[in-house]
Formats: sequence, C-alpha cells, structure tokens
Amino acid sequence: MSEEEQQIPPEDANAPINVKVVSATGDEVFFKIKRSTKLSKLQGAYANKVGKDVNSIRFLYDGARISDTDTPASLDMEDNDTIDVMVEQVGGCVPCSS
Amino acid sequence: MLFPHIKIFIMDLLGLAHPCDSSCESKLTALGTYPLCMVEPVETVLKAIQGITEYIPAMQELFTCTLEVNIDKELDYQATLQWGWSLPKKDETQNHTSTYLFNVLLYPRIRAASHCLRLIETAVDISSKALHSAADKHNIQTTKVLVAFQQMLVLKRSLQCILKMLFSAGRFILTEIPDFAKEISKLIIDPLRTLTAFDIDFGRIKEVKLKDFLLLDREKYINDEVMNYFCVKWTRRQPTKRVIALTTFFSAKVLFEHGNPRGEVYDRLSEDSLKYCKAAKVFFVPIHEPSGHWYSALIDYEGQKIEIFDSWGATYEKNSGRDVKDQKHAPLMLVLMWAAELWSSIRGVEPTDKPTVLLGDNKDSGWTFDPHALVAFQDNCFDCGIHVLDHLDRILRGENLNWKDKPSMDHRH
Repeated sequence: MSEEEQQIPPEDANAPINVKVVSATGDEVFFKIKRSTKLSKLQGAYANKVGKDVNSIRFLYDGARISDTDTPASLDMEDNDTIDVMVEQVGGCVPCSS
Repeated sequence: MLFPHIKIFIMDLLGLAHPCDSSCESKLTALGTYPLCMVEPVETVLKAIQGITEYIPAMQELFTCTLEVNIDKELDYQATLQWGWSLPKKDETQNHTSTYLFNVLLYPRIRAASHCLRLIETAVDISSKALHSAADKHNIQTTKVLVAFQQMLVLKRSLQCILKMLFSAGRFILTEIPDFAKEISKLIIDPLRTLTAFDIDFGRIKEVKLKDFLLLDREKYINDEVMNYFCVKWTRRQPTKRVIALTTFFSAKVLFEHGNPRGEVYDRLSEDSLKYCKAAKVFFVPIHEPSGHWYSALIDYEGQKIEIFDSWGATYEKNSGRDVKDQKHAPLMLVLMWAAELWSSIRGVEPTDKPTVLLGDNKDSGWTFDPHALVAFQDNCFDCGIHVLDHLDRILRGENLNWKDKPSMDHRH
C-alpha cells in the first residue's frame, strides 16, 4: 500500500494539468500544459485562438495578474483551475451625455 | 557640483578613462576589449541623469547616494572580510593576476552598479506630487512625468548593460582560476545577476511597459495597467494608512456584469477581494465603465461612509437633484453596500470599530452614502483616469474629497 502512495507524487509533479481560460463574456477555452511551462505561452496561444493582440488582454489567476515568467508551478495551480481573461480597460470621459 | 561626479562614476563603470586625466589609460584594458556597442553611449546616460534630476528633484538624493559607493577604493574590504578572500598584494608582479583583477577592478564595480540599480528601483520614482499638481491643472501640459520616466528607463537599461558587461568580464577572468570561480559564481555573481532583472515588487504587477506610461500624456486615455500600478504602489508606500486599493479588474469582474451592476456579489467576493481586506480601514475601488470612463468609490469603515466620486460634471448636474433611487450610480451603491457588509464580517476588527455593518434598511447604522459626491470636475474629455488617481492620492493624504461638506469652496477649477 505504501508503495502505491509513494508513486503518486512524482507523477503529479510532472503530469500536465488542464487549465480553463474564461473570458469576461463567459466563453471558455481549455488548455493542457505542463506545470513547468511558462504561462506566457498559453497567453500567446489564447490570443491567437481568439484573434486578439496579446497586449490588449490581461490574464488573471485568483484575481491577480499573471506575469510573463509565471508558470503553473510558481502559482501553485491545480488541475482544472480557471484563468480569467479581461480586456484592456481604457477611459477618459463619458462618451455621450448619459 | 553633483554632475561631474556622476560622469566620472559612469565612465569608471564603463571602464573608460577619466575624462580630465588624458594620461590615464582605460582602467580595465587589462581585461581585453568589451562590446561597448551594448552600452548606451555615455552621453545618453549623462543626459538621462540630468533629465531625471531636473524633473524629479527627489532623484538628486539617489545620485548623492551613489557617491557613497567608493569606487576609488582599491579593494572592497567588506567583501574580503565576509568571504575570506585573500588580499592581493599590490606589487608589480601581482598586479595583473586574475584574482587581483577580479577583486580590485571588477567586483567593486559590480557592486557599485548593482547598488545604483537597486537605488533606482527603491527610490521615489514618480512622486505623487508631480501627478497631483498635474491633476489640479486638469491636464499634463508639460510632459514632465513622461520625460522623467523615459530617462529613468534609459538609465536603468544602461546600468543593466554595464552590469552584463562586467559579468562577462568577470567570467572571462574566472576561467583562469576555476576553483575560485565556482565559489564566486555561487556566492556573488548569481545573486547579483538576479538583481539586474529589474523585478519591481509590486505584487504581481511586475513591469508596466513604457507604452502604458505614455498614456499619461495629454489627451490620452489611461489604461488599467497604469491605474493598477499607481494604486498598488501608492497604497503600499503608506501601509500605516490602512488604505487598500482594489484592482481595476475587481470592478469589472465582481461589481459589474455585462456593463450593469450585479444584483448579488457574495459568492464572487469570496474568490477575489477577501484576502486583501484583512485589517483595512478604507477600501478604494477604481471603477471602469466599459463605454470608456473611469471613476472611483470609497468604502470607509472609520468614517462610516460609502461615496462614489465621478469627475464627469454633467453626470453630477443631472443626478444630484434626482431622487436617490433614480440616480445613475445608485445601483452601484447598493452593490458596494453589500460588499461593505461582507467585508466587515471578515476583516480584522479593531476594538473601536463596530464588529459588523448592517446597512440595508438600517437607519441607525450611522453610515452615510453618497452615490454622486461633489468632486473636482474634469474640464476636458480625457482626464477622468488622472482624477481617479488624484482621488486616491487625496484619500492617502487624509483629505475629504466630498465638497458638499465644504459648500463655500469653488469646485470648478
């Protein structure tokens, strides 16, 4: 029994995890990535898929911005975790008299 | 004068000869030639320094500091003591041994350059004063802030290049003394290299790109990167004020849904904001309206009030006379009230604070609400983001933003 238990951790550490990327409108895209892969790769792939400039969208994990050097491992992400995508927010005034 | 010293300092870091001492050869020539093209020309660096001190006087402090790093000292004694390096004797035969070169010529410079970089990173970068005065005038007429930023970036990049160069020189020397090299590399070079990564510790907001800062220019719209950068930076700088600024994503994700305030926020709140809210007295919420407008909200547990600050004058004129439930920001106020109730049950409570806040239909709660507080209005069509930052700045200064409390004041600049 103890042998079985010991085999699990190394598998977990290397196994790819599933990550769900959810846009503000609720659209979901699924990715499978290694825990050591930089999330910037995922960001680029997502931007490509939805046809947006990667600089115009923001990726959030647990409410905090994901930076280019982060990996699932560095953020302690687990299988089936969700990454939120927000669009760039720009503002200057109320556009029409509302 | 400060300036000439800086020049010498930079020249020395680059391994160039002292400009006034023509007989002196380049101090580092013994180490071979360096890819000088990697480095910004000295003049650019000097111009950058001049530019920074001109626009942000506080930076002068930084450059006075760098002079304390005594690069003329022949040996870094502290390093010697700390790491037990053998002191190279200063006689002719030993003058060009690898150990000597590393200890005497290279290491102090690496330290000086690293120190300088670190100072830039930790020193006041952009004073809130500069932005404050800009916001008072309702525009950034001079591009002071921008110029200073650009100059800082040039200087940072140059210092990083200098360091890179010094490191490569260091590696070159250390190949001559492999045993020593291994040790040094582990103890000194590697930690120093990580310093140059210019990882600003603003939580997760690591590096805001220059193109984002350029949005601070006149007639530009501020984006979320700039907003979050300053919100986090300013509130962290004054932790004792216990003001928490939430990120712009909070309003987009939690308070609003499809552009309209949410009816129910409890389950969403539990995900995001709760980890920030311990021990906070004041919550500052920058709010982005998807149509392209910034405004802000304040939840103040000490002053027992919730206020929404909108710098768009027409919105105020139109709504201030209306019945509360018809006001534009009334739905948002309701959401904020719910948030306030929930946070109050979770945050650390001071003995003087009321343990829980019950706001709905509770006339005795002692709290006041103003969905349309009277604040300074923008007199143009691009400054609302600057105004939001100005709101935070004033809150951190302990100012009361709502001018309804001071009716005599003229709120039109």
